[in-house]
Amino acid sequence: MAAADSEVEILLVEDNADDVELTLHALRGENISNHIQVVRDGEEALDFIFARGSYAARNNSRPPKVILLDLKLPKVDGLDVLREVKKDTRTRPIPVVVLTSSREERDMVESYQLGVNSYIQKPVDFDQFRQTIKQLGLYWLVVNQPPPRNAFGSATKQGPV
Amino acid sequence: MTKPVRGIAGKPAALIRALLVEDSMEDAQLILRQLEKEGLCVRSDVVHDRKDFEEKVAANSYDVVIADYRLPDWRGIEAVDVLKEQGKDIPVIIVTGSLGDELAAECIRRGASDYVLKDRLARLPSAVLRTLAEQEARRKQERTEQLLRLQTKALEATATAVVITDREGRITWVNPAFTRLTGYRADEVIGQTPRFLKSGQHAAAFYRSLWGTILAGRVWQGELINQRKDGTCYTEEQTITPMVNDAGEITHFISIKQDATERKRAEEDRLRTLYLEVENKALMRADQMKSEFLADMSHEFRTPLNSILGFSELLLETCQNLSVEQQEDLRLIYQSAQNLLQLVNDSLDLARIEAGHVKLDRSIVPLKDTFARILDVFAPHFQQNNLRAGAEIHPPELAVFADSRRVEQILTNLVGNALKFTGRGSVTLAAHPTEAGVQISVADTGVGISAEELPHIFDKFYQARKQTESATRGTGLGLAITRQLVELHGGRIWAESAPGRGTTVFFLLPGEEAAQRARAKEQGRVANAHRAGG
Amino acid sequence: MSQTRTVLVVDDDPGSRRLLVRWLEEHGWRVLEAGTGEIALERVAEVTVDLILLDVRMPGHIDGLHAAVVMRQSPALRDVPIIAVSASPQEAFRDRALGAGCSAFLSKPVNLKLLMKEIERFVPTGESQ
Repeated sequence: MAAADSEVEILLVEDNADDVELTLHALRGENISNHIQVVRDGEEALDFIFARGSYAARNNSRPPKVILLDLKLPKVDGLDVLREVKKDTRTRPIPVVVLTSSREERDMVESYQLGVNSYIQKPVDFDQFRQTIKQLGLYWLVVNQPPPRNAFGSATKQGPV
Repeated sequence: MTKPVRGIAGKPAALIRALLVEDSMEDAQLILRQLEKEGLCVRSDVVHDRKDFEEKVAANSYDVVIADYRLPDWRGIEAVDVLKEQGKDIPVIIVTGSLGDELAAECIRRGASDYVLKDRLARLPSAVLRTLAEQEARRKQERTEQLLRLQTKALEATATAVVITDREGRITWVNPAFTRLTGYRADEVIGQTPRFLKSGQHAAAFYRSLWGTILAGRVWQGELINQRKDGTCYTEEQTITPMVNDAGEITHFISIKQDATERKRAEEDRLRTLYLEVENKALMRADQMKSEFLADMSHEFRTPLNSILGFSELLLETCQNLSVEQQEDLRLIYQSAQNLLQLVNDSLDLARIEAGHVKLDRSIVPLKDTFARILDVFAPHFQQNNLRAGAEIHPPELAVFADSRRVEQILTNLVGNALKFTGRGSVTLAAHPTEAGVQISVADTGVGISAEELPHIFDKFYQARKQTESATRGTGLGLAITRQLVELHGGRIWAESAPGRGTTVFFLLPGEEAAQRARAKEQGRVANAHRAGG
Repeated sequence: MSQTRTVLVVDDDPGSRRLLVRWLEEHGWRVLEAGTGEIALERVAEVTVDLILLDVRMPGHIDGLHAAVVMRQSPALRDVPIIAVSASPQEAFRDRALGAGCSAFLSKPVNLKLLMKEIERFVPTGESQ
């Protein structure tokens, strides 16, 4: 699914296979990106982002342009993934977009308190969902300027590993 | 014979099978010797009459026929006709003593490949080789042309649209499938770029990326939405292959398009259905979690309250040695616990209603009985405070289509409130039908509500300002729940009041005729489910 | 002196149990306790009881409803009144309790006077308390 490691543009964190298929279809539908990496639980997400565990061999030089994050995840919960990413200066600048069915206000509150860049509630209608994904993709991959290398902290400045 | 053995077109010598038509054996030998002298490898047969010739040709394969022009019963040139009759593509070389220009020309015209004079027999070998080489070349050409015809036929016949453009993207050729797909004829599009197909549904970046790929010499494959000549849009799967010359420069682009509209539509439908399923599952899961949470909360709150209420009641009932103060203390504990319990019940009730977990058990509820029951429950209150109770139902058999338990809950709340705020006079229940449903009202002659408070009385935790005694203080949720219940039935609730002049709360509920509509709807639904195999 | 009647109180919450024990003892009952469905089944096998008060929702392998069903299978217990109590929403558990064989259902917090009225209904006293 992903091209060379350093070319992952979108990291999709989603455990449900149907949701993965639907989101990928929407992303690919507009030829927004062919460089999408899918991880299926919170632990795998962190392993990928921090290039450790099962992804220890990954070249970490170029982080994804955006992380699409579901909240209900096995092993490590979505909010915990968000917390870890935003806590560590090595990863904090990476834009994180929560993509969830949840309508719970407290999920939104906590996400924003943890520093999420954007919070999207999946529309009930499929065509609207596709529109949303298209806008999302265009915005974060084309319109938005990804954080420059200087924005990322070095290994010495990180929090506890 | 030191000449190397030669074959056709300079290739290593192959066997030449020759059929000689010659009535003179001497001449035949001469011819053969001449050929061998030049290094040709020949296997030959010799015939002299036409019949033998026909038989030999029919029975064997030959590469060349060498015929004498002058034969006893026929002319060597007729061999060409025989071969044509038999459908054999074998070249004929006429060998003759003398011919003359006219006859020579006629031989060639009739189909001989060449002619050689008997006194110039040295020419024969090279004539044979040349003839065979020409034939080989001709055959090759034919094969190539046939292949080309087949390919063109295939391209014409294929359902896949093919477009060939030059390096700038200008169309040089399209096949009929293209016309079938887009509606544009070949003559309409040759010389133009495929821009006229643009549907406007792709960003400029999309086309830029496409051009970038093929200009870099890479194959582009993807899906895009184009527009036909008649304006309708369709989805196509396209593969564009750059054609590169020997120098590595791109000379053409070949684009293959396939109509993917149907496939895409089916795929979209599948995904749309899948999405709905997924969303529904997510919603149901969230709902279920809420349900379980509320049930757990209910259980958790009531368990300690059970102890508090129970033990304070127990002590009050059974302790003989309590002082008056101690009794009062215990009563306060009991009372507080009662209030807390009421609050818990109301909060959970409201939460369940708001979460959509309350289902109405609707039936036809005659208001006469309901009013009577409510007034009966509150009879002691009426008596204590010397208040009049009234019930006015017009027509007397008036009924509503509603959950009877919830209707009683609504009326209990409203009458309870009315009694709380009415020191003297009456509390009257009334009901009559309107266009919008059955209108029920609870009117009191109590202290009334000010204009600024009136819009807020149905808010959560609203408490009337005049409440002082904590004993009569409510939870503030009663009216909020009442409003939710009325609205859950599809009705409306509002109040009219003026300070000192009492309050009337009105609400609408569906009348009996709503029951018939609901029944009809239900029957329709069941019928549909049966039809769908449900 | 009326014959002392025996009641089994089954509830996992110690507070609720103690409340009923105190209340019923005050009213002349001999009270046995059980904190789980399993223990309840053991007790009724050992001792004859005139009444069972049963919390229908308890944690553990055999919850209250399950215990009620099992009790109703035994000929000795088939006619013993079982009054179900629960802190859970009434609607949800009332029908299930009655369906499992319970004779009545009260929701917590239990109104003690109401409880006595119900008990009187099933196990009338010879003389008033």
